[in-house]
Amino acid sequence: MSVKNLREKLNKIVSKEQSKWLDEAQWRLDNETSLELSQDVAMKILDRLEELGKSQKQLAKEMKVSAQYISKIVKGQQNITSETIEKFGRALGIKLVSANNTPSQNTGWRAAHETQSISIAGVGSYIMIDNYSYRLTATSKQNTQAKLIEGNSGTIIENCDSDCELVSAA
Amino acid sequence: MKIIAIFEPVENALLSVQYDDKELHEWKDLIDCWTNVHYLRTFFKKNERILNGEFYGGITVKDAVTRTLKEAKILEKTILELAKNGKSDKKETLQTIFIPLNNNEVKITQHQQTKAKLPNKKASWLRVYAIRISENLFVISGGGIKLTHWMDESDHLKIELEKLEITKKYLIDKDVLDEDDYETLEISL
Repeated sequence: MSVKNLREKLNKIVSKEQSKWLDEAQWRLDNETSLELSQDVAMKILDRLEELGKSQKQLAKEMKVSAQYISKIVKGQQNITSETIEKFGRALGIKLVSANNTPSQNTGWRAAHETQSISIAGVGSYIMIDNYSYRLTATSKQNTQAKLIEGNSGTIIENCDSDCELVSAA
Repeated sequence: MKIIAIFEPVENALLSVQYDDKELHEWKDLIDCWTNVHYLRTFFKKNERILNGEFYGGITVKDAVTRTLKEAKILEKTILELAKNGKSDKKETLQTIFIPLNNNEVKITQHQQTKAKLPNKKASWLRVYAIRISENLFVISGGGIKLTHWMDESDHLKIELEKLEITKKYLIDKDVLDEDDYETLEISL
């Protein structure tokens, strides 16, 4: 069978609907480091819940969040902010991340958005502003520029020279 | 179990079936499970007896989850690269990762049942099962975490054998085959 014939036959059975896997795979590659943190946190939350004999539903009630939110966090498939980590740590009475893998590091950028949301993150890490994931980038500690890059697309959507300042240099 | 759709995650290279009892196509579903900490932790807790057995020598659930997350990341990346590269580079096709399901098979045959696992990693336990249409064209029927020596020793892998058969039959019924490619290649052992 020629390649053309094979393609014609495939066209008859292949769905017209796009598989979203390619975009998702690329997103996972782009967010590799921050996803490792989310996975580590998810594992610790689940271990702690088991240790306390507590269900996700009970935790949701105590934290005044939905059970769906807890379920999302314990999958470890999305970026997680330092605020969320702290919130879960407080609710579970444990430290969920060690000093060397928290998003806040000695060398970091303070990014303030016009909505007054403020996050501190290490260069190359991800921050959440208004429910969007952004990556902070910079070429060196002398370079006081940082860029907000939309997590999913990698598109630079905002240069934030004026909104970012070097917190401290290691 | 019935196939209700066939998706094409990488055009002209990687296809994946969707069954009537699932919301996602198989490749997407596999990656979704293998990157889900809660799913993996539950799976390994259920199979803790095997992890504590002689073969795995007491690997902890936490280590098993970590290892799977790492393996899934590499496997996904490898399959993505091969599917893309295989369209132009005949040395780097999906066929380099998908090998015959039966270890005793030495010939590439039409609608062959195949498996993909991390190359050069004896200890890898993630498996992707697919039917081969041609050198860089595979239809994923399913996959799983293989902790036992034989597939029919695990209930969840027994189902994978059925899924391979269902997918093969579906493709034969739809007459999707590449006659020019039939038994023309051999795998070196």
